[in-house]
Amino acid sequence: MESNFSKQILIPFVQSINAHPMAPALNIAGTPYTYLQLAQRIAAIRQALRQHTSSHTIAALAIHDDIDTYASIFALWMEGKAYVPLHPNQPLERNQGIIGQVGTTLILDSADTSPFHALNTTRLKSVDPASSLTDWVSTPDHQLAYILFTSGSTGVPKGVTISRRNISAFLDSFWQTGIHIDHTDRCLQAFDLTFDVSVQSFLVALTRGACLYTVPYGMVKYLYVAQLIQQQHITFGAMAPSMLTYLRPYFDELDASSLRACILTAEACPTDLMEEWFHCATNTDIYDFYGPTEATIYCTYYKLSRHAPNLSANGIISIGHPLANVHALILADDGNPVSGQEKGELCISGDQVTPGYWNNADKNAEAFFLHDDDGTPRRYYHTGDLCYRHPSGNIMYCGRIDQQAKIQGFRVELGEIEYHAREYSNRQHRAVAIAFQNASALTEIALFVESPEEDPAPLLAYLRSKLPGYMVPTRILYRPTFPLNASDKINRTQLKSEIQ
Amino acid sequence: MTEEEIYQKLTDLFCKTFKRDGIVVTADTSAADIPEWTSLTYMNLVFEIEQTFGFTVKLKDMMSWQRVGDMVQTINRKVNGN
Repeated sequence: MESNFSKQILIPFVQSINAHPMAPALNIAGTPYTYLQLAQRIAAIRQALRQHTSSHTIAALAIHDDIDTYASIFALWMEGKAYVPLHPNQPLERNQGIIGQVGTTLILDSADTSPFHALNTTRLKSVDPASSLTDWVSTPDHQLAYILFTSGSTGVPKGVTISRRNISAFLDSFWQTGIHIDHTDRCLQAFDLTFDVSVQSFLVALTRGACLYTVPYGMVKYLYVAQLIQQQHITFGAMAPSMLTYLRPYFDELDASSLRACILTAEACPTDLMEEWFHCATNTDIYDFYGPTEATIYCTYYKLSRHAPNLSANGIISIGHPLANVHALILADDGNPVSGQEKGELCISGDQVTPGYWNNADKNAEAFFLHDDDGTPRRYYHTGDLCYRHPSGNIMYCGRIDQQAKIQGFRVELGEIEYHAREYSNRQHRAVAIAFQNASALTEIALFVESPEEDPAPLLAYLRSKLPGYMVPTRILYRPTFPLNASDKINRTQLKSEIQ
Repeated sequence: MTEEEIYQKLTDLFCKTFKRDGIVVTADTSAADIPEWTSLTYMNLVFEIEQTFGFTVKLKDMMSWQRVGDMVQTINRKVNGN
């Protein structure tokens, strides 16, 4: 019997190759690569993997913007192995630390010169793919598909393991949202391969025979994506709201009419930005997808309405309903489900939830728990996200729990301050509120506003008119643009470090 | 404004935006030559160009800028009508 992973990923991918061998699978830096070329590279890498001395089932993969990197992922999967991405632009010490944690000697790299003792895939001659399209290694769904290392609070990266069951359940959930992709689509891949939305981006395209357009390293991403949308007529793509914020001043110039469907993800999705994006993306269904890496890419979604008001809280679009293979609970501080529209921590269960962090028993004990759902015990993941359920059943996102601060004993949601600061600028400027400890170890709030320097007095007066005194920031700091982290989210850590 | 003056002003803006002294800006300079050239710093650079040269940079301008020489051509056209 075929595994779910085969049914959801390998079989549809091979069908793409067989049905459209001469159609482009990838478009990398303007160069198209056909499904046949991709299959030939996969066959070559599979052959090399079989001859390799290392029998490790987890391979470290140096990720480059090239055909061999994508071919390596499928080759590893077909050989029953998992991959751990290593970003060549990240410090060597960090990458070596990840290799050390995983304990693998199987490393793949397509660079001419690799800092690792790696199998160089570019030296492998392409191979006729015929046999390798049907004879993949039978692998049970509980085996891993990939491990993504994210920053850990202790300073050591922590690895989120994603099993074949997780990724199959995700893809099954994804297709049940009604998003349709076929061989005529041109799909965007705007995420780094160390970030899990990249997996959605390439799987959705390549399992449906579509063409995937990547963003080369070293490019100004928002500009390159705008060019792809306009010149390559991209029809589907996932992007971070921050990227659209960069493009916002140019919406009136950007022709995004080719986009049929667009997913906003990776950070909170502002209502006002979406209203403007609808005017630019005139033929587009827009979705807000939410999910932590631990629940495999996405676990809830909300389809925005072009003509009717969209559900929002503090100017942030609802994250909607759980995907088909996801259970969601909102728990109060005492561990019991909240009642009505009370706020609490969103907790996620189901086949998409990771088996756990790699070799990290302490973190696993902290992050996962069993909860009895009407007689059925289920394993849940603490997302750390503060949410409540709207009477319509949609989940409303209110920020990170750790973005709550206690000021003079009052619980303060920083998102509320940010909302009013944005409203003050008629939604023209983004705002980030950050709680910090002053020299006397008292908690204060600093508010960063993304705009040129100006007199903060009118803004403070406005905030005083909207918020209780303890919620009014004690510092207002202006920045022309906000720094982003590697996942294109506003880099709150860097902003916090700038508070004097 | 002469082309030489444009290059001089751009050199100052590059050093200010990328927070590094001694950046040599030539017609062939591109993102690949400056490691600090990111989405964020580029946005700042465009902002500085608008402030310094007194015109609004369009999306199609930025899309045509493969290297600094293209940038200078746009600035020359907008500022001097060339």
